[in-house]
Formats: sequence, structure tokens, C-alpha cells
Amino acid sequence: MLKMIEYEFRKLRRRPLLILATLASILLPVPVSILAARTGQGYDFLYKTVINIGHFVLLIPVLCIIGSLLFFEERDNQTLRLLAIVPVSFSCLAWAKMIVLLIVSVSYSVFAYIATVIGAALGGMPVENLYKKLFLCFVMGIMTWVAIFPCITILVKLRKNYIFSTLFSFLYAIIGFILTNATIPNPSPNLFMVLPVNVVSRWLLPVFNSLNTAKYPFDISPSAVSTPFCVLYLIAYIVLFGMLLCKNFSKWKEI
Amino acid sequence: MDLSLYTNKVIESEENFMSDYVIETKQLTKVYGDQTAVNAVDLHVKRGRIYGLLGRNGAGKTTIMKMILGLTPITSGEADVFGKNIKGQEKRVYPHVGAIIETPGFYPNLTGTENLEIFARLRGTAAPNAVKNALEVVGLPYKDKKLFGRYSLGMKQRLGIANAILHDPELLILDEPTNGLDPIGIAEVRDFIKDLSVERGKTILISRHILSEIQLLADDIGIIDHGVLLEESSMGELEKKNSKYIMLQVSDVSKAALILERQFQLKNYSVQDDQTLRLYDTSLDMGAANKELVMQDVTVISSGLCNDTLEDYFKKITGGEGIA
Repeated sequence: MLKMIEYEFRKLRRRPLLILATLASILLPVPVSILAARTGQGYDFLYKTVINIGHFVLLIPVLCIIGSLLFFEERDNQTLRLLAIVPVSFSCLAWAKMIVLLIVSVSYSVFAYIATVIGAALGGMPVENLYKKLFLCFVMGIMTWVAIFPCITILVKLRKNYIFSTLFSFLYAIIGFILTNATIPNPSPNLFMVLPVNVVSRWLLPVFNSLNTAKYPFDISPSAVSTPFCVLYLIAYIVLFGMLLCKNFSKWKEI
Repeated sequence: MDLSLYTNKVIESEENFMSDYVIETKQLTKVYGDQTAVNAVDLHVKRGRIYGLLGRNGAGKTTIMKMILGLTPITSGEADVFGKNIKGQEKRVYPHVGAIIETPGFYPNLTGTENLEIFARLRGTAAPNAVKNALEVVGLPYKDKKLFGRYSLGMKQRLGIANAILHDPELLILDEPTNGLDPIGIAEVRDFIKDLSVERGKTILISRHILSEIQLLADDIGIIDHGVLLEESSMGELEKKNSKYIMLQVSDVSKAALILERQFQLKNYSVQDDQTLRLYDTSLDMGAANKELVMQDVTVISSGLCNDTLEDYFKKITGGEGIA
């Protein structure tokens, strides 16, 4: 598997995807740092915005677009049939691509966090719980990666083009974000908890409280989910959608 | 092309690898919806020989190759490679097979060398200079900076062939490997394929829609048309089957035919056009026939003994349609 992951990175040579992902990670912190400094809302506002919007609205489509490139390029260049007769396990190939996305996702989160810290320093905003917040960003990178599984699985199942994939990715991210924010004050559980973004957002409520990052204007306890619940939920998501992804991707061998 | 650079490999003496046919299909059929792309094909590719699969575009050549390689499901029938059905045996069979199916697909953002290095390592190719040797064999530079995306079609085909021979397989399945090559390139690849078979004992299944190329290359031939294998034989046998005839070009075909019928009792002939007759009775005394025709004011433009070409034979068995 390590060899496969190494090849996935080799295949990305001369592709600006990773650079674009890094640039995307500082896209949000820069204006929000300026806004937070000017309005006096402080670092916690900056951090919370980067965690919520940066991950759920920006990172999800970025990952899905990179994912669709990783999956579709070999199909479009007819490289899959060469790989098939090596032979390469298509399940292994799918997981290698997903792990590349995990690395991109975590890198994005860490770069975004570094950008917020630099923004805070430049804007004269004090930063508390530096390492805890870095760790949370790292965890958010992993959780956001889990959140893209359904989107990538659907894109692989549908086998459409890049334009469709890009539109679908943004739609998936935006609908997930809107439904989550519209339902968060409601007591759990509800139907929208099938969306991983919803569950992660509910898990974030007490986490933000513990970091003194948010003062919600409502009682968070009915909406919040515990860490074990969230972790088990995301593992179940990886298993279920991982299997579906491999099953659908393996059909690409038959050309 | 320096074939000596290419390392030879001892063919495994597994029991299953000792079958008479390296590839054998039995009633191989592929149906897409209500269209039968390949219909009950029985193909027999012998060890160490070049088998040319000849047919027009869309005849079903690529589909047969895909089914043999397990790249598309078989509707009915069987396809055995090295005596094994490839389904479920991929890890055992594929290391002994090199293939190009349709256009060779590589990563456009990588150079030829980088592409081959990925495939060499994925295959676990042990030979240290495997990539360099394979590139030299097909006449592509090693460690060149040109990206695959900027390759010409001919260079892409060469890289596809290099990838197919990278791991020194016993069997090569090459689907139109000279597509896009210039005439010199076609001749080079043809010679190289021939050398692989003659000098290295490789078994090669090659498809082509250009008859003259198959004729120059193949030891055995399968003629496929509309998904049906119409003929399978060695090239030698096929040449024997081709009928001999006298080609007669005259100024007046009707008058000449009448004279030949009346004076020489000739019945077995065909009119090709308004100047050409084909006389299938080759025992006819052409000297006497020419003299008689001239005496009766029919100008003989030319006359001579001819053999049916492979194209004629192809036309005959496919019902009249020719091939390039």
C-alpha cells in the first residue's frame, strides 16, 4: 500500500494541485484575519471561521475536485487498462488515492492554522491554547476527509466529467453546510445527521466551548454529540463508503 | 533497434504453461445489448508464432483481445491463456503477458522514462536496466525530458510497446501496434516484432486492419468479419488456397468471351470490368487464344498468369468487401 501511495504522489508530478490546495488553505485566513483585526472580534472568531467555513465549505470541494482528478484522469487517459493488466488491485488503488486525499486534507488544515496564527500575530490578536488548536485542526483535516467519502463514492459511481464533478462537489459542500447550520440548534438526533458534516459540527460544539472559542446563544447540550459517538460514526462511514467506493471503482476495470 | 539489449528470461516450465496453444478460445461470444460484437470465436494461438488477427475496423478484434485479457466480461464461451481462464488467475498470468489495447494510455504529465519506471516498479520488474533497455529497443531516448502529453502518436505507440516488453513476457497481445507510425517506423516495429518471435520465441497475437502488414508479419492468420472468425489457418496454407487464374485484358470483353467460349470451350471465367477477364482454367493455351482473338479483331492488351492476393481471398470470404 505504501508503494501505491508513493506512486500516487509520483503521478502528481508537475501538477499544481498540491500547490493550489496549499494556496486555498490561506485563501480564507487572510481576509478573515483582516476582518477580525479591524472589527476587534479577535482570534477566536478567526479560528472558528477557518474551522467551520474553511473546512466545510472550502476544503470539501477542494478535496472532491482533487479526488475526481485522481480518479478520472487515469480513466480519461486510458491508463486504467494498463494498470489492470499489471495487475494492480483496484481496491488498493482506490485506497491509495483516498490516502493521498487524507494527506492533502491534513496539510490544508495545518497550513490554514499556521495562516491564522500568522494573521493573528500581524493583527495583534492574542492566541490561546496554541497546540490544542493545532491538534484540533489536525483532527479536522481527518474528519473533513471522512466527510468527502460519500461525494467521491457518488462521483465514481456516476463516472461523469470534471465539470459535473466540480459542480456536484460544491453543491455537496454547500448543502451540507446549510443543512447543518439550519439544524444545529435542534435537539439531536434528526434526519440530517446522516451527513458527516452535521455530526462533526455537533461534536465541535463542546470542543469549541472547552477552548473558549465560542459562546453559543443556545444550550448546546441537546445538539452536541460525544467524541466516542463521533469517532464510531466516522469509522462506520469510512467502512461503508470505503467498501462502496472500492466496489464501484473495481467496475472501471471492465472497459 | 538493438534487440540484444533486451534481456531474455527463462520461460517457466509450469505444467500449465506447456499447453499446445498459448491462447485458446472456445465459442467466445460478446453481446452488447442486442448487438453481437463477437460471435462464437474459436481462436488458436500457437506457442512461438505470430498470429495475425485481420479484420476491418469494428470487426471485433479489440473486443476479442479485451476478453482474452479479462478486461471485459465474456458473455459466453471461454478464453484460456497459458491453459488457464484468466479470471481469478490475473496475478499468475499477467506477469507473463505484455499488451497494448487501443491507444497506449500513460500519464501525460510524466516523461516516457518516468511512466515506465512506475509500471516497472508496479510489476516488480527485477532487471536493473529494464526501462532503459525497453526504451532503446523501441528507439526512444532514456531520461528524455519530453512529457508523454507532448508525444506524437507514433512515439506513444512506441512507448506502449516498450511497456508491453518491459517485463520480458512470453506472450504479447498487440492491438494495432503500428497505428500512427510513419512508414519507416512501421517497418522498424514490424522487424522488431518478427525478431521477438523468431529470436526470442515469444508468442504474439497482433491485430491489424491493414492486410499487407499482416501478410508480411504473421505466421498464422485469423480473418474476422462482423464478429465472426471466418478463417483460421497458417499463412502458408492460406497462400495455397488462393486460386490461380489468367488475367486477360482486351479491347472488347464481350467479343473475347464469346470467342473463348466457342473456340476453346471455356466456361469458367469472370468479367472484372469492360476490359478485363479472369480465366480460371489455367490449362488454356494462351498462345493459341491470343492468336485467335487478334485474328478476330480483338486487341489483346495483356495476358498473364496470376495468383489471388490475400485481399482477393479476403473479399471472397467476407462477401465482396475489401480491406486496406
